[in-house]
Amino acid sequence: MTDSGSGLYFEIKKLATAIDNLSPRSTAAIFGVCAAALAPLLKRVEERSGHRWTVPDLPLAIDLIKEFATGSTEASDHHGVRERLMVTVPDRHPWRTYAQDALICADAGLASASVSDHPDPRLIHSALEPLIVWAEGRDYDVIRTYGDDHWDREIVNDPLIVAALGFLRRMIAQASQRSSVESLEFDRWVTDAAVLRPISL
Amino acid sequence: MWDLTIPGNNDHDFYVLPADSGPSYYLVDKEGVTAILVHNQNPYCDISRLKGFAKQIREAGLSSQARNQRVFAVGQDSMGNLTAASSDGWDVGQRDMLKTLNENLHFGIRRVPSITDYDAEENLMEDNRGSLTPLQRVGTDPQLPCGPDERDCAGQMDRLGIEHE
Repeated sequence: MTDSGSGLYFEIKKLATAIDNLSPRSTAAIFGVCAAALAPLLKRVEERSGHRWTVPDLPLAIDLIKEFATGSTEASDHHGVRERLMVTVPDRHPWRTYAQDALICADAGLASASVSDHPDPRLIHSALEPLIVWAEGRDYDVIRTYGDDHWDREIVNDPLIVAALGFLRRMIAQASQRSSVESLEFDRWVTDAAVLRPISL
Repeated sequence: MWDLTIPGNNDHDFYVLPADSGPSYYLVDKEGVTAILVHNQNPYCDISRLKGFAKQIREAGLSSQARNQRVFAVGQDSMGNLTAASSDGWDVGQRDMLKTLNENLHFGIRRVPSITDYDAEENLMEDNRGSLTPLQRVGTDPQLPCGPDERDCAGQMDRLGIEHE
């Protein structure tokens, strides 16, 4: 992994630095949008399990994050719902990692919406992880032959990664200009965040 | 006793030069004194140590999902090369820990990309498939390799002669 001036992980750390300067409501918006964008992937895992494994708290978590991000509610204690999100173990499914990432983004959004808490901004990696894992699978032989550092440098030119990084940069830049976001804007970002999903749904 | 082992994944050669070799590289000098080639191999790591590496990587996860729902495995092949794999992805904290292990402790642990739906041990075995230096030992954290009621990673490793817990 090269993170000393170029490459994917350098870009992720730049995103994290930008998020670190956002207001709590804007930070909640960023992670809430990412959780909502990845939620359909988690839903597919739920369906595949025959609904033996479900996360009924995820829609609730996204609603709570959106309410805080848009200024409708104040920071409060989300300990209970966060704990439930974090202890659930996604069913065995090829998209299990994607489901984990949706949960991680939701927890980070709830942390932003909590009193006396603040998410590690590097968790923005989880918004990109479904694409990263998918691309690593596609590029498996390249990574085995040329190594992680080579892949890390080259993958930032991949159109899917370019689109995802570009979306996150734009959303963070727009969020940085305000202390909270409009509800319609939140919804529009969720639509645009489809670029974070490696598979069209 | 001489111990000229340089930790690493056999990816660099080092040469010990005669004291008066001047600016020359590793050529044989006029007197026929040859530089000594030192391969950089990792030292032997027993399963407990491999498990320790896997634990350090796993626990560096930034979120409790990444720390508690992902399994990590670290393996060592017959040349001492070390590889690490996850049952799922690697988050930034886990990648940084691997970097720390490699830089600060001078180990050369290579990250193996994850194949969706593979267990961590299966990712190590797949990466090693066809290699001239077979995997010899694997340490897994936080749980032991699964049995026949799941993907039978323990059985798969047994059939390949890979030592595990």
